[in-house]
Amino acid sequence: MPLRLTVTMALTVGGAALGALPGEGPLVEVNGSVVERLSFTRVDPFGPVATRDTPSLLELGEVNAQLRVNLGDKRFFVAADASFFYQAGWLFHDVDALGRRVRVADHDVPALRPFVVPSELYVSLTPMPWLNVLVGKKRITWGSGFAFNPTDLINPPKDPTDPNSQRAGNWLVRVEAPFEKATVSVLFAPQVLSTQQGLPYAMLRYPSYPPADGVDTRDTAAHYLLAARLYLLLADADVNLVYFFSNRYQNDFTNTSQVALSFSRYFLTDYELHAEALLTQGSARSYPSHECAMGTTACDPAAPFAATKVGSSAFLPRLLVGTRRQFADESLLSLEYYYQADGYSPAELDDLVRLLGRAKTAASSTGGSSTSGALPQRFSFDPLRRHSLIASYTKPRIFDDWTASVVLIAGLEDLSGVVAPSVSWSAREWLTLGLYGFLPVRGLGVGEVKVGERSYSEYALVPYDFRVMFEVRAFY
Amino acid sequence: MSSMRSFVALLLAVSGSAQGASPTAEELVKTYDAVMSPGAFRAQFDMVAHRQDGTTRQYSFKVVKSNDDKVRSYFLGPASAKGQEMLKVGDNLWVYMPNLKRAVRIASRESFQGGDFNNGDILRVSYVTDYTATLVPSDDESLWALDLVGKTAETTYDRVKLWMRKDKKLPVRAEYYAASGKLLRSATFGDVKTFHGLERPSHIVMRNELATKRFTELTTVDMSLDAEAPPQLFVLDDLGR
Repeated sequence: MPLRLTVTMALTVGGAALGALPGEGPLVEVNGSVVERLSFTRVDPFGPVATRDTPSLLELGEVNAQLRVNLGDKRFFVAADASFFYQAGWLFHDVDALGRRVRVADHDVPALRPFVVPSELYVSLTPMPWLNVLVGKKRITWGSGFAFNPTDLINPPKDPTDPNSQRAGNWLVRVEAPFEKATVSVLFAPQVLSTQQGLPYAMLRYPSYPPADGVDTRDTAAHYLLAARLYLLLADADVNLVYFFSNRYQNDFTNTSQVALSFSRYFLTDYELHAEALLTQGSARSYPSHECAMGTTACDPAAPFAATKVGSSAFLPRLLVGTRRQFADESLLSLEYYYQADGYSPAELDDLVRLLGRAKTAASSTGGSSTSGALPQRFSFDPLRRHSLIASYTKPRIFDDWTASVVLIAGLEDLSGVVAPSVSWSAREWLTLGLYGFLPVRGLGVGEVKVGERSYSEYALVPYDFRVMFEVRAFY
Repeated sequence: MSSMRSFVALLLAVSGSAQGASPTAEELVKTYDAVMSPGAFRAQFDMVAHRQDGTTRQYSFKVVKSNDDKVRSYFLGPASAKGQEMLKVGDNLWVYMPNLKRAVRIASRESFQGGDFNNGDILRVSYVTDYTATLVPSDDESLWALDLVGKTAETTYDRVKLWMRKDKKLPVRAEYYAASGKLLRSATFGDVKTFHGLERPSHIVMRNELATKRFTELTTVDMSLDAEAPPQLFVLDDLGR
């Protein structure tokens, strides 16, 4: 029998009966993990994205605790999932006035300071079998996408190279009526407007007084999202229909309705097929100002980027279609195609590159960052163009407890992307070691935009040549 | 206790018919289901997966089953799997991943926690529903031999050969085949114990015939037949609560 260092803190009230279910067992349950990541990034300071505050060597430690406190019958409980992060960075690089790669002295970077992320913190009550009320911060995902959910308007987005890594949700109140083959959910999510060390201190509306420090970004609007969702188990398929109504919730949409649909079902025994779509009039995406990109006098320097299509009456859908298959050797293949009608055209990408190049100097001199209530990610997926592909292949037990996987995230218009291979080893039931790589593929000379002497594809904007990361994760 | 009484009545009925004459294949499969997957129950299992290199991985989980064949399971350990839940309703299977904070659909034929059992072995266990059974000659006079052929492509295996003891009408061993006729798994059922009135094998060893050093042991720690679970446990949106 292998060594087990599993520690379960359980304050049992009267002992856990056979088959005790959540809410019937121990009063308090705690588990979690301790993670140490060390990464090296070959920073590319010659691109349009500022790298002065990007360390080549980064250490990130996480202590995570997941707590559940059962408060009696009717499945009344409090749940929390919180992480404390410590991080440090070294070896910064930039370009000097002569266009040479130069080392920048180690310096204070706000984004590298310690912080806390309460991924979830909520109270759940089921007063009747068909009714659940939840209040707090919770990750709720209704879409069927595996690596990405275009219909998710609530949570911080996933990391497609590791969809398990983003556990953070958002603050909300949800009332849900689950039945055997249908569920009705109604949700109200006020936006968190100000946080301190991951903890919110302003929600829904800004306070009437200005902040003591930082930029005053207040407005008088109520920032919220309402959602009503119908889930149906229909012909062995999961079907979700969602209606969203939002006002200045994480974007510039005001009093805007959006409709979402998701679907998931197995076909031919082993092939899971899923799709999700979001139908919206207009887009909250920020577009680069052509005048500012070209440096003309018509440029408004206060608004180099603006949500110029936010009031458009054009329908700009987002659609993801994917399939998943586990083979006889237990390897898993996932393919997902993503289309966003509001993605940048080649001309808009051209403007973006020019604007980033102009803004680079300013960004280098100021730096700065803020926490968003989300867990730090290895890779953030926010495609600029319209057509993307996310493919992943995982093969467990290449040796007994070794798992190999590779994820490809590709922009299909210019054939650029990021390849993320990894190998992990479950050395013990409680210990996993992983080695991860991130390799930008800067394009194959197709569909690129040329700015000055250099051609740019979508993923040529990634400010590094490669990144490798070693991770140790111990569960308790 | 009503489910317990009906379960015992079923066993007596099948047993009675067997004393007069050889039971039919369908009666034997019903007996198998009544023993290995009784109507409504709560049970706790330990699973030890033996790897190709000789190392092992241990899992502990609870299973709740309703009278209408819905099943929900909860992983208690190890720490890396704690919080995972599975649900089976009809032909639909889902797994709730605590880190993903959501449930995803899975297939019956996918591996259960990377061991040598498939999801369907644990969660989809109504042989009467899934297979057409035929009595075939047995190489051991103390055993009945059954040939089970999947009724649809959704079954966990395309074909199962099952041997049951004539005296106690309990399973002894089984072989599981692909549509091609290739032997995928084999199982032995042992250590017969009585759980709250139900006599059943408490220890199953599932051998992976494609990787012969691999096998997985499944031990029934306890099983209770007198607990009909509330219906909301078998609803997708209840996973993770």
